[in-house]
Amino acid sequence: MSLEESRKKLTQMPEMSLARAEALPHSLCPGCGIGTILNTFLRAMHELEEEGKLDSSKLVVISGIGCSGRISGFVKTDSMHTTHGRPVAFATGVKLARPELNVWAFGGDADLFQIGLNHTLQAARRNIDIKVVMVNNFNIAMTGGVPTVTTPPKAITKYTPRGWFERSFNIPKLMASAGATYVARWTTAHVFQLKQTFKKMALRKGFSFLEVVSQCPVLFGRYNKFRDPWSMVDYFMKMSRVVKGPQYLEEAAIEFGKPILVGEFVETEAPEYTETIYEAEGVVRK
Amino acid sequence: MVKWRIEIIEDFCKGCEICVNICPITNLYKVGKVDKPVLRMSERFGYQGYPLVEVVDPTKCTGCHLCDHACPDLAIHVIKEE
Ligand SMILES: Cc1ncc(C[n+]2csc(CCOP(=O)(O)OP(=O)(O)O)c2C)c(N)n1
Ligand code: SF4
Ligand code: SF4
Ligand SMILES: [Mg+2]
Repeated sequence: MSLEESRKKLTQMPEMSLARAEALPHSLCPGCGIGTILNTFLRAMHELEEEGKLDSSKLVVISGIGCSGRISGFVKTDSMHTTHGRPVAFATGVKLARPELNVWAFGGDADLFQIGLNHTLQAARRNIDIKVVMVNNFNIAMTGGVPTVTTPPKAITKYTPRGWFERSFNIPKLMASAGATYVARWTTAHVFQLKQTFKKMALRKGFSFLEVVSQCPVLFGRYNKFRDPWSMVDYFMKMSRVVKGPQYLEEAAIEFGKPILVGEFVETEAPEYTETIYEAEGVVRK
Repeated sequence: MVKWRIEIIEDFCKGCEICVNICPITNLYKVGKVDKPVLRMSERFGYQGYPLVEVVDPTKCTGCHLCDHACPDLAIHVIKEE
């Protein structure tokens, strides 16, 4: 079968209606968790469209730079591949200019919590109706496996052969403190939960944040005794504890050998930024 | 009874073995509870040079959809047969 025929076969799969076949197979490594996130996202959006709850012509997928940042190139929706750390800033602009759009920002740990941290926190504080998905693969993969703000203490990377000596961010707690009205975390082992969360986020009004704990088998897993992609997914599956509610935020930091708390940490309501601005300025919402 | 067909887009598969490991029936096969697995790694290589996964016994598939949701390369699809 030629590559053209394979791409055609993909487009014939109904659930893959939003996959950008001409850009596939994608450039991510074998077994990369970002692919699973892409897969479940495509399925979630397709299901919503089937159910008549979403118009895919109103979807915008924005991403920054990094392996995670490549997601916007593989979806057949309006998309933007923006500068490193700025997917949330671009998403804010898109949402303010065209409030009727369903705006998603995808990024990696470094994209959204290192160089782009301020944008992420400010968007959460404003409660602007954008959906932010952070791929936590514990390292800066695209630049060769550099440690990052979510690298767990003692983890081995190419640059820290004797172990990483810093503490990592407690991402859900950070987002909750910044005022995010929806904060969830799942791993790439939770494929159905991921799909459901994407569907929920698409229909929710307000700032929604999802952290996906993901495997980077090539630049992180290999250095940390995870011999293949599956051993890391299996680890996520075995170490996950499902929780619900903000009382678990305190223990949500991820460390090796300790349970990974997953589930919905925050779900509240607050006035939405775009609506507030449009109302205050007397602009009729389209 | 509902029947399931498993389609593998071989040019897309990167042989990561996630589908083989996540499949509940294939796991039952590993501990000797069923006589054949649904999926296994083949001896063949695909367009990208990676080993390919193959379907052994689709009749045992329960349609749980774990493999096609977890595949990072959109390469495996579980389809309901009428
Ligand atoms: C302004 C700027 N600084 C630095 C870089 C180099 N750079 C490219 S990707 C990247 C980080 C990617 O890490 P992450 O967001 O965690 O994504 P991952 O590759 O791990 O999925 C960096 C620092 C850049 N492209 N632009
Ligand atoms: S380097 Fe890591 S994160 Fe990047 S594509 Fe490969 S496995 Fe995925
Ligand atoms: S079909 Fe997908 S999950 Fe299975 S080995 Fe191939 S790439 Fe990996
Ligand atoms: Mg990263």
